Amino acid sequence: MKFSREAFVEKGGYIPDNDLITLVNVSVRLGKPLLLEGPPGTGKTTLAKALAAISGRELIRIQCFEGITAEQVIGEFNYTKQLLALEKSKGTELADLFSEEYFIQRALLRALQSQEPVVLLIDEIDRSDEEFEAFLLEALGEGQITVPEIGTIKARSTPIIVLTSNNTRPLSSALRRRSIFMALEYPDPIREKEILKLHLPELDDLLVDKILSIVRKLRSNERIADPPSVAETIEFAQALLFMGDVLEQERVEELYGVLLKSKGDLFEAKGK
Amino acid sequence: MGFSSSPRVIYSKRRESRMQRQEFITQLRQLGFSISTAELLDVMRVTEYATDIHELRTGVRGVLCKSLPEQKIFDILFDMYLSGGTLEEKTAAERFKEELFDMMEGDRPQAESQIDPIRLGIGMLVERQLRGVQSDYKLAMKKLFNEGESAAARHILLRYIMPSSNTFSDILQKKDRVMASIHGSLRSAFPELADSGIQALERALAEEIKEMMRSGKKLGLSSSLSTLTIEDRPIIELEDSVELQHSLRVFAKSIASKRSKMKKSKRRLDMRRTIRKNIQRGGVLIEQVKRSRVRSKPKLLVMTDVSPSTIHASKLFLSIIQMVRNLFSDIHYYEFIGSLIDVTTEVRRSSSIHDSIDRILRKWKEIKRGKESSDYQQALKEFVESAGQYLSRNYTVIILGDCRDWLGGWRDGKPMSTDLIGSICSKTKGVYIFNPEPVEQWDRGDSVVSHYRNSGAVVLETLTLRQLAKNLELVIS
Repeated sequence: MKFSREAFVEKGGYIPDNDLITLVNVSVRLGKPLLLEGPPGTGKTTLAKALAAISGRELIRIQCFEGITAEQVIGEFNYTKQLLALEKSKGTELADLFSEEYFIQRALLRALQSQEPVVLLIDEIDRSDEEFEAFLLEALGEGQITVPEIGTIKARSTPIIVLTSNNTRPLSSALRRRSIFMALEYPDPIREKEILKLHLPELDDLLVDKILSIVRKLRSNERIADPPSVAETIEFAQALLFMGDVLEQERVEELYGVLLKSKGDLFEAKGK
Repeated sequence: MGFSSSPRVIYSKRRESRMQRQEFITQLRQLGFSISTAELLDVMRVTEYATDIHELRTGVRGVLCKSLPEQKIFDILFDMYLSGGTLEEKTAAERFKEELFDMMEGDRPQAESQIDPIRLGIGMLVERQLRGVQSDYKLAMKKLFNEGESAAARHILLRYIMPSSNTFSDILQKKDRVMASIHGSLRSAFPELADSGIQALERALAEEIKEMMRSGKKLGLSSSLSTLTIEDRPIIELEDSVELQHSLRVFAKSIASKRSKMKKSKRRLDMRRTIRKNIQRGGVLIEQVKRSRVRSKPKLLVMTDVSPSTIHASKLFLSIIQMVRNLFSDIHYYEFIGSLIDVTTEVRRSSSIHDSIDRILRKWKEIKRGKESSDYQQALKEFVESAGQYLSRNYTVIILGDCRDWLGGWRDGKPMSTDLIGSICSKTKGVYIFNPEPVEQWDRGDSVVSHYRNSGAVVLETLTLRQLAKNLELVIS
């Protein structure tokens, strides 16, 4: 399977740059996870969705957070079912309570056990703890996981794995070594223009240029903690269209709430 | 009539290019890339797959680079070794693969053992390249200029043409020679540039030299091409940038997350609730219930020195404090040089972190119109008066300052401000002084670090952003 730019645009609604296409293909070819690192809103998660759409595979997503545990992504034994089985079997032969029948599968195990290959998105891995990251190494490197009571479960099919990180903490070199790495930045003006036109073909070039100049100015303002993402830029363009293509400074500033989501950032953007 | 190369010349050229490509991987390793044999195998698979030089570059980069700085280093090296105009696109990949086989046969892991584990930056890379390989610094400079890294390019040029000692007098004495060298280098590196373009670059370089002379910095010690990451560079050198703000936020998040883990790890078993919970499951112990331990948030009194020597560190410190303010139940802010003002209201009324810093500095300028010299005795005296009601075991005091008590009085061989420090230490949970000067400069001149230490204060070196965050973690724990 080789992903092309045309497939990304037509089936995925995603405009990648050439480097990204190459790395996606290298990652699929080598069967290694693709690690995407960059600020929020640079299209990391959307890429995984696009890959699922293009390949027609199911997208299984693990949203990482502080405190996420292996049980939450592999699965756990269904205690209630085990207790019921225990009660039911009184006086009869006891069933194997630690068999797969009593195991509730969660995202990672589902991705590995699926007969049809899937796209597995492990989103914002930098939010998880180091222990969880270490646990993932076996799944990412060997394509298998070990549950002490069940044994080693090998992948039935090779999923396309996409890991994303906002770089809020450095990831371990062990994880990085097992991945194909790509640092994503905000798209350059030409690509961002293409993205805007893809989503809102009714936008005229002048308005697109104006929108991009506003967004770029905000992104280069170091006082703004959360600069606008591509998705927010599209929403901003939609809002401008809805408002009737207004480009006066004051009216545009009224819409800054679409681009910036905190009081501090709004204050800095308006320069008051 | 055309020229044909003799077989000997062709063989010699091939051998040279082969050596260059082997050198490419070796150089990456020497620059801190940890390239395992497994990764070399992956690189070989990429070379099989790559159909042109772009795919080769991107694919190999994806396998070998694990961070953005590494990508930049890789690209410069790749250009130097592998994407020269003489390489045919398809055969470049094939040759590269053969050489990787050779390398793996004689894999030399000992090269890695000599590597400093700290990732080296572009500056070190270029320096090594220019000194170690038969290469031209103008090539690297030109590439960086074309990529918009003009400050980095200027630095390379200056580093290679400035007098080796780089002292103020050296530069002054050899000014004409330096400018002539700059002109010559620019002219040969950018033959396509018009005179006006060259002159503009010369002016920028002259300004940079002037600035270095003004600030007394030695060339090569400080520049955008520093080998250190932003977290490990001296705070005084950091300029406000998107990258700096990102690093501040990362540190703030890291401090917050460590505090949250600390809270979780110390929870004890709640027996009563555990029994109740497990009654639902027939009294079989399946789930443990931990006590929700209420750990009171610390309270802070923050004193920041806003004299010119420490203002920059103070700003960064205040930014981090603002970002993690939710970890504290109460914070009071004070500014000082020769006297002290309370700026808590300014911070609380501000709309953003930057706004709060602007406000407190503005207030200082409004109230203290004249210039002041450091006087810890007076500043601490005013602090005790102003913050007297908060001086209790519930509060920790953090002072960001260099402990240079220029005007404070002395009695019995010690500065009078030490008594005040001792008194604050005894009343509060502790006094931490974050000193933005290197330890070597402590107790020299008007620095009174040892006296403050003897009075019970904890003085911590705070030269870099990393140290700043680490020290703050220490206070919070």
